[in-house]
Formats: sequence, C-alpha cells, structure tokens
Amino acid sequence: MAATFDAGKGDWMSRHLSDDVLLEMAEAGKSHPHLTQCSRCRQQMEDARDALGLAREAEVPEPSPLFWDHLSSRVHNAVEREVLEGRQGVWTRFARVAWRPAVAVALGVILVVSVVWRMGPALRQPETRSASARQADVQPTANGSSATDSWAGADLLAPLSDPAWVVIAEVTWGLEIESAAEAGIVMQPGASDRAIAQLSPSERQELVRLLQSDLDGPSL
Amino acid sequence: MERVERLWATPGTSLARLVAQRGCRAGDPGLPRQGSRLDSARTMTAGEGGGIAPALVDLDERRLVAACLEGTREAFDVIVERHRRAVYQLCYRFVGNHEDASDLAQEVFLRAYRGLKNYKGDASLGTWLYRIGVNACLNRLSARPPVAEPLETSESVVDRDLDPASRLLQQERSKRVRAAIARLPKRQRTTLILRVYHELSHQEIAFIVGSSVGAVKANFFHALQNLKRILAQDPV
Repeated sequence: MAATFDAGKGDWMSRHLSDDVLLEMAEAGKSHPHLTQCSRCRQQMEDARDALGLAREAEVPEPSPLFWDHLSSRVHNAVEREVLEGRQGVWTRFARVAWRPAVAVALGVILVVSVVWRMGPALRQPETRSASARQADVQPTANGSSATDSWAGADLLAPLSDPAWVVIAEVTWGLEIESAAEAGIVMQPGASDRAIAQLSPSERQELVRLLQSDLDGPSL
Repeated sequence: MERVERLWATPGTSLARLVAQRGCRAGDPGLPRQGSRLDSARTMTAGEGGGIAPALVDLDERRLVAACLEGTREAFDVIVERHRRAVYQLCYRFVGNHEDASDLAQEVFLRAYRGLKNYKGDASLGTWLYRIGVNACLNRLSARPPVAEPLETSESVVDRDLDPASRLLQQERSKRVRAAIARLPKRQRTTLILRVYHELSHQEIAFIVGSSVGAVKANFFHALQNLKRILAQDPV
C-alpha cells in the first residue's frame, strides 16, 4: 500500500499518495501535482482508471422485456406459497405440540380400561365375595338358606366360563341317566356317597330341596 | 382528502387499516383486479368522504413496508417491481448466467419478505436488499461455482446501436471483463460490483459488507489494480 500523503508537512512531493487519494482521482478523473513527479503513483492511478473504464463498459445482458413480469410473478407465487406453508406450519406445530400428547393419553386410557375390563371379574370377585361372605355367614335368608348358597351356585357355574366345560355341557344337555347307563357311562360304586360327602352344608341342603321337589312333582 | 391525510398522520395508522375502514381488504374478490397485481394496487385509492388514499405505487418505502407487515401483500409486489432489475443485475454480476441470476433474485426477494419485520429502516430498502442479495450470492458461489453463459445468448443494452461487428467485439470484451471480475477475491469483487455497477456510496457498501469505509476504499482500489493485472494477462 502506498504511503499516506501528509500535506501538513509540506513534503507532499516526496511522499506517495494514499489509496484513498489515488482512488478519488481515478474515479473523478482529477489530477494532482504529485503525479507529474511520481511515476509510481501516476502508474497506479492510470491502472485504476483503466480498470474502472473497462469495468464500466461490461454491461449485464438485458433479458427479455417479458422477463420482469415473469420474475414478479415468480416472486409473488413464492411469497403466496410461503404464507400458505406458514399457516400450515402453524397448524402442524399445533398438531405436533397439542395433539400428540392428547393422542398418547387417549391411547393410554383405552389400554388401561381394556386391561381393567378384561381383568375386572378376577379383580373384583375376591374382594366382593369376602365382604358378602362375611355377612352371609351370619345372616340367613328368608327361606332358611344363607346367602352363601348363591355363591355356591356361582362357584358351581364358574367352570361354565371355561370353553371346554361349555362344550361338554352342550353335548350332554338333556342326556338321561338311563341313556348314560346304556352308553356305558356308569358311576363307580360309592361314587355318590363320596360326592355327597364333598358337598358343603348349603350344597347338601340344596340337593335335599331338589330331591324333595322332584319327589313332590307329578310321577311319570 | 383531509380525512385520509389525517389518517395517515395518525400514529399507528396504516394502509391496511385504511382499507379496512373502507370495508374491503386488499386481495378480496370484490376488489377490482385488472391486469397485473400493480393494477390492483393502483385501484386501492378511493376513500370514504370523497378522499383519495395514496396508491400503493406512490407510497414511500417506509409505508410500503408497513403495509406489507399489516398483511397487504400487493405492497410487496410494488417493492419487487421497484427493485427487481437491480437485484437481478446484482445476482447476474455474481453468477454470470441468466438462470441462476433469476433463481437468486427470487430467493433474495423471498428472504426479504421473510425478514421484513427485521427491517429497521436504518438503511434504504434498496441497500437492505443489496445486503441480502450479496449474502445470497456469496452463499451460492460457495456452494457451487457458477456456469458462465455462452456468448451468443448474451445481449447488452448498449449493444443495440452498434453494427454487428462492433457489437460482437463489445460482447466479447464484456464477457472477458466479467470473467476477470469473477476471479477477484470475494470482498474485492463485491465492492467493485456495488460501486461500479450499482453506484453505491462507500458508506452504503460498508453497511452491506459489514466493514469500515476505509476498508471498502482499500478493497475497491485493490480490486481495480487486480482487475488491471488480470486483464493484462489476458488482453481484451
């Protein structure tokens, strides 16, 4: 870089002009006394002026007159898309922020309800029974039987919830004891006594009631 | 007219609010649209009480920007129309071909639209657009080198008055100078383009490139020296 010109010291003829001064002269086409004496500064200034002249002549090719409206339309459409996408972006962000947790919570609730629904009887039964059973043991019903009977019935029916038992029940429905005997399905000796011995008092009472009603009914 | 002027003079009043007071919005189907979007901008003039609001095309930059920010997108069309040639030419100076230049010009305006709310008015809108344009162009050049356009597809404005031989010679010269400018370091190149072809002041260039005025002058002087040297190696 050329040395800075300092006019205050009066030695401007011996010092090179600064870039600023050379540039100003090149751009404005001015001259300076120093340039008549200093070939280096003169050369730098002339180079800058030549380059500036050549650069100024290098025009940009002019596009078609129709191009400008085309460019405006492109920009307009791009801005429209930008605005549209911005709106969709807001919705998308809302959906991402607000709906994702909501959906997750909803799915969680469905899952919990489903599990409770499936496991509900198993979860509810022991607790309910223990509460009811405690009362049934001390409060006989009007017909003399205790509420435990209903639970005994429930226990007897419980196997029916097993699909295998349901199939067997359907197959044997309406099968008479005589038909079973003819088919070779017979009880072992003493099996009735063992079965009755395994009944609870309430079950025995129910058996008595059934036999009694059967005996009281019309004879065949 | 007085009512309209009062509205303009009232702080916080904008074109969009003024249009809203007329009971219509820019871009509504009920608003007459003839030909280009600027036609519709020009029709947004009638005010109640016989007053005439300033047309969009007559608004100064500050009010145009305010109108854009209020949602009057036709105001941005006016900005584009005012600055599209300068922005395109700036882009062409950097990339050297029409296709990239038009893509970049669109990108510059889109960036400007996105960042319009950040425009503080500390520089003219044109200077602000130049800054966006320079950044976009330099980013593009960093991403991939430009492909210069073939000579036969180029036609300069100043060529048209010349005979075919002189026109061809000038086209060739322009192309060589543009190629030489393309070989300059980025800052020198940017400074030279803004100073020579867009006639910006050193202060404006300093704002655009984010440096001091002294640095801009030094860059410009070195750019001219280097350009002379490059052209001397490959005479025009």
